[in-house]
Amino acid sequence: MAERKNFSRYKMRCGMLMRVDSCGRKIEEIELPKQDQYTLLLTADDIPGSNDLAFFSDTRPMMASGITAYPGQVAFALFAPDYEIAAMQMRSIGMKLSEEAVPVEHPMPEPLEYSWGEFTPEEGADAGYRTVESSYDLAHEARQTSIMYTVTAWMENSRLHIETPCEWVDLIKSAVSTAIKYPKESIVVHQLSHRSRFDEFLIDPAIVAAIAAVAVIRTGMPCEIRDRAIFSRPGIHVTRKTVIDSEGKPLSENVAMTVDMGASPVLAEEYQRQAMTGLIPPYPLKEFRASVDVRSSGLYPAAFSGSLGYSEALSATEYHISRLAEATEMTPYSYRKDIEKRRFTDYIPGFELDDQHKTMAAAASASTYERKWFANNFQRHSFGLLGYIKGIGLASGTGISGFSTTFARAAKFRSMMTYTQKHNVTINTSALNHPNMQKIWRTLISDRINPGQPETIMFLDPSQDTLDAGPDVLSRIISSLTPQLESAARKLASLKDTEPLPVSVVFDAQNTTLPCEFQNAGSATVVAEIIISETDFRPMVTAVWADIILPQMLNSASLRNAVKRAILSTVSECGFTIPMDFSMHLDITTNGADTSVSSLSALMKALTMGALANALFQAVGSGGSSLPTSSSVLEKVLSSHTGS
Amino acid sequence: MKVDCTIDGKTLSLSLNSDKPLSLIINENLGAGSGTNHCNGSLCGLCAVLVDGKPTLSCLVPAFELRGKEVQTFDGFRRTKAFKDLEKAYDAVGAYPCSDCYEARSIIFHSLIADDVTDRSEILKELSVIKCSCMDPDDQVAIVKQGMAIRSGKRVRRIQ
Repeated sequence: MAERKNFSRYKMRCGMLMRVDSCGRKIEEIELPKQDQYTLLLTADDIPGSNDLAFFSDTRPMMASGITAYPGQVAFALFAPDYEIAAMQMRSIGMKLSEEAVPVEHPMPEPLEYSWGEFTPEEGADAGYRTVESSYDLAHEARQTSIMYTVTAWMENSRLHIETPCEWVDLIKSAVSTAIKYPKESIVVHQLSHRSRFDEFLIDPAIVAAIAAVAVIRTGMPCEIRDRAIFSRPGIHVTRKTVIDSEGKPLSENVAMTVDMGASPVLAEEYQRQAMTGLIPPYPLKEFRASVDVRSSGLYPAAFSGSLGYSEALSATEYHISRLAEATEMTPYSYRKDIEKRRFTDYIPGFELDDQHKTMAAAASASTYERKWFANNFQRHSFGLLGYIKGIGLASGTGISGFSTTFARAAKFRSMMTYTQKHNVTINTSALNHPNMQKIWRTLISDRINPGQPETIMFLDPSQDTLDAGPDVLSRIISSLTPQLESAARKLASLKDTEPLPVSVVFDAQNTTLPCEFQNAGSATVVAEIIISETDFRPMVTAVWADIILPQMLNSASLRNAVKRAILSTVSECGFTIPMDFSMHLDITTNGADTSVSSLSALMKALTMGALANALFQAVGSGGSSLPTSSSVLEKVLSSHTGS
Repeated sequence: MKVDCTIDGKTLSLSLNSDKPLSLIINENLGAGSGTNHCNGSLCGLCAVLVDGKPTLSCLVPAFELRGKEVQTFDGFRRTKAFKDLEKAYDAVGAYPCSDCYEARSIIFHSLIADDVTDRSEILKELSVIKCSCMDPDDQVAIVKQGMAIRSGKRVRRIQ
């Protein structure tokens, strides 16, 4: 990888971005102060190539051109010798937007529908049927985080270098290439280390990099832009109606999920597939009808936020199972123990739920879930003025990984493994931003080809010939690429003895031959205990118990850290605080099954959200169980309980 | 204004605006590799550095307060033996901060170990300045105690 050029800050330009705060407004006027030779103002008109960022089949205008396409869109960029001058100049620029909004149309996919079976109530028996309804909400949220990142662009000979934190190198190259009409092969991306809890570094750095590249072309100097990472999550609303018989057995179910992806949605169809997988319940049903409707709105565009619909949908399903259990006067744990097998669907294969039962039993026993659940329920309406403001929630589910099979087949993300004449193995892939994972991959591959010689396994440095393994989202680089590398290594181990060297195997970065959209891998249960402060109504999580069974564990310490981070991040994302006496009990075991690695982060996010929603329901009832919660929301709900 | 201070062992004479925060000075005036977050005073806690040996949020320190002070950023701290000991504590506990807060949290862990803070609530109170929620409180306390054990083990060896 080319080294970063250590250029003087006196010979570079520092850029700041001005973002608009509304969608569909006409930019009527930009009042500029007198520009000197040291400052540069860039608008959409200054982009020599295309202003559209292509993200698979979707496009998003990078800078506002005439009409603002989405709130948070870059209106213009200002470059100056340093940030202080840029900030001062920025204050003297005036921008006038039209008061009336112009409707902005976005092509949206048809609602995705999935169903099986038909249920007609038996004559004379319908008196025992009951309908259980639930509604699950997760509000749309978009905000600038406190994480600052810097994108630097500079030219060296004929190569344009971009230094940025990013989750997908190819998207940075594509964005820069189309913006400045520069060959993709001449763009070198230097990845900065980052933690992308909510996929903040997937799309935005590509836009910022393209603007910085335009500035390099215009000024002939290295340019950098400093910006804040943006957290953006879609809003969801799930309504579910289940008909149960007199014994509480579900017979038919109708689910409708509406997703608000804000303005300029991306990967809406993939979102539908992932969400549908999470909406399909584990219990047997005679009839099932589900639809996922993705809509656009005037809010900041949302796409990935550590998940692409599966976590949100699974948490809604887990929430509903607890409501079914309550309707049958059982604890959610007891209710779920009777569900033995999941049916085969187009989205996820059928499988026995033995592992899930084991995780539930372990987590329920460690947390004394049943006792606490009964105690909370018993005392809920008879304890103090505000009620008994404690709750415990359980959620259990199975993990999936990466993109759907349909999407993976269309996207064609590849990597290549070669056995050379020097008896080394080289791997050509863009998935190079996990140094710890590379060590594990080396061992896995050498065990199959050159046992005991991990030093003979080499990952090729990025070059113009690097094969694109796709974006590093949904833990897919770890969870989907690992089994593919193992499979390619097995194939290469036999080819190296029969074919002339060098011999190569080109393989998909993700399994594209699965019979369903996703493969189940790994089961987990999360129990969360919450309490609401009686003084300021602050929701607090006092303890979390998580039990996980995985097909395999590549690195125990990393995995434990990743699970803890996913749980703690979700707790914060849902509006809960973590008190000093908080405790977390985590147990991870393997079952040795030869299946793919699960995307644990997305699963833990789903189960933590589900457990928190259930705990919140027990504490305050249905009125306050929407996520994310806050002390002001809970104050209103609890005040309405007491009638004050 | 002209500010004379020491940053990571280098004596510097900087010419800058008197109210420029230390976090920006580290980012802009010290060149690449000295990255520390700058949240503009929103107290994210990710810009912690050591000023005269005390952990301080660099976004809240204006340039004029730096006169004659000794600043140690994470870049300077990572070259010390104390950091190697802290890494050993991370490994022993099996927990480590995420890449966002690794630098700031390591600096606060170091100061807690150096000050012999053993009280759980005091440890967590000090660490609560970092808003990143990537670490379990039990793990954080364990790291501080492990760090102290590693350091006292060295002292014992030296005495012997």
